[in-house]
Formats: sequence, structure tokens, C-alpha cells
Amino acid sequence: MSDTEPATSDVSMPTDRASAPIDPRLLEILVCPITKGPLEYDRAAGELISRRAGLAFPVRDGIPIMLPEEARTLEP
Amino acid sequence: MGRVAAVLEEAADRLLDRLDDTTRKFTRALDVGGRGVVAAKLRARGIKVVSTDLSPAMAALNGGPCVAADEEYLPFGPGSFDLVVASLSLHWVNDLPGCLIQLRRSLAPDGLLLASLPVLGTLDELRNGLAEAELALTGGVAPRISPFPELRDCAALLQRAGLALPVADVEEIVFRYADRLTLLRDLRAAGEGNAIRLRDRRIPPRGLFAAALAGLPEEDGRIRATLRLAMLTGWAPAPSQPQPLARGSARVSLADVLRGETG
Repeated sequence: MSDTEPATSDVSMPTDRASAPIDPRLLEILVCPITKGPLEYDRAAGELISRRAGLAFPVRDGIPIMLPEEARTLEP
Repeated sequence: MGRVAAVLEEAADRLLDRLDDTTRKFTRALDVGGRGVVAAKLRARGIKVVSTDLSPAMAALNGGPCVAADEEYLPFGPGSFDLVVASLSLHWVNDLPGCLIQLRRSLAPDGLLLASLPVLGTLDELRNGLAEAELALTGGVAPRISPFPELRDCAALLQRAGLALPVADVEEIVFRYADRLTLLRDLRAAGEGNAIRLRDRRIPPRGLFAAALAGLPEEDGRIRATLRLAMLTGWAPAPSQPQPLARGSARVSLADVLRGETG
């Protein structure tokens, strides 16, 4: 469990929960869980946005929360 | 977690044994609900791992990149992985066939799905003990142990999910408890309580669990609890895999073979 991968250990300690960055490897493979369509990463807001589903998935402590019930509904 | 970590370790080791049996090299794995146990074992084999769990806290146990996701709404693009490992994590999924189809889609061609889940025979001792005790106390029986699939259904599930070369075999882990109540405490610690939606929600009759536990057969003063695991392997279809010949292309008659008339 104390797996020290350089990719995770050299991250400068984020103070704001939302600003913890997503692992770039995840950005390459993540899609919207509902539509399986592409996601936009809003780094400032800490959200992954699926336009087609009209949902913004939160990123907490660098962990994308890809649960539809946790997502914010986008204004049309 | 501490109490059940040993069980998770043992189950994961037995499942990942199958990796060591193949000559294929895997590089990108998805760990579904491995609770910190599976990801470490995969990394020890030199495989990059992405972990997913319904609970962000559980997902974070895995160290590397992780995602909170529902197994029924997987957020991974097609062909994202060449290995998917789900060790003891799919038995609470409501739509298991749908989940397996999504996992297959996340695999690149010739990628491997490895999954283990408890099948019929698991906790049989406790199931029988509870049924007998409840029948004696109330004259009826309510389901108190989750239903488990049969082994033969598991292979069919893999096939239905479009996985090639499906195999389902069984591994048995037997626990022996000197203190009977510890069995119930461990089940609770593992989060494996009764989750049947239509379960009897009335308070169980007084003395039910005491009577059931007292009635369990003993060996050397200890009771047995069996965990029967189906180990599932299936491959994402690829042209390089063995394919059936086209219908009607056979050049030898099966009847001749059976009569022993071929040279």
C-alpha cells in the first residue's frame, strides 16, 4: 500500500481540495459514465464536464467522483 | 478492514495466480474494488494500475491514480486497459451482466478480465444453521444469507458479456472459528451483512442467532465457514485468438472418426 510512485509523490501539496490535480493518465481514459462521451476538465473549478449529459463531476483530493448522483447539473 | 484484510489478500493471491499462468505481459490494469489489496499486488508485477471503487476513501487506499465510480456506470473509454481485475467486488452489483459488458468494452482486444465472486455453497453452514434455528423458533424461515449464483451461471455470464474463451472454476477457502460470534463480527467487518431488499425487516426472534450458532457442526471445538469463490477469466475478442472454423468446412466426418475409420 505504501507504493511510492514518482507520479504521485512529486505533487506539491495542494491546500485547496478542488485544486488537487487529476493524474494525467486518468484524463486520457476517463469518459462520461452516462453517455460514454468526452469530458472537459475545468482545472480551476475542479470539475469534469460532460456537455452531452449536462453534468459536472467533482474532483476531490485529485479523485474524480464519477457518480451521477454526486454530479452538478449544468444550466442549459 | 484489519480483520478481513487476510481474506482479501488470500482471495486476491488465488485470482492473480492466473496471471502468472499466462505468458502474456500486461501493462495497463483496472482494479475494480480491490480495497488497497489488489493494486499493490499488480504493481509488484510491474503493471500500471488505475483503481476504482464506489467509495472515494476506499479508492484512495490504492495509492496510485484512482476514480470513484459505480460499477454499473463505468467512466472509462473503450480499450483503456489490457487487464481488468475484480477481486471479490462484483457480488453486490445489481446488474452484473451489464457491468461485465462495460468492463469488456474498457478492455483492448485480447485484454483479460479476471474476477472472483462468491457462489452457491458460500456460508452454507451458517445458512443451514439459521434456517433450522428459525424454523424451530417460529415455524418459518426468512432469507438471512444473500443469494449466490451457481458456478455454471458464471461461465454463461462471461459469454453473454461477449468475452472469448470464458472459464469459470472454483476455489474454496475454509475458515475455522473457535469463537462463534467472531464469524458474525467478521462478516459485519467485511461489509457482508444481509442486503436483500425484500429481507424480513422485523427484529429477528430472540435467541435466533445464539441457537443457530450453537447448532453449527464442530470440528475440534471450532466451527467451519466456507467461502466458495468462482474464479472467472475471459478475454476481449481479438482475431489472433483461436476461432471456430466456418460451418460446413470440415473434411473429416465425425461418424468416421467415431467408428475409427480414419487413417
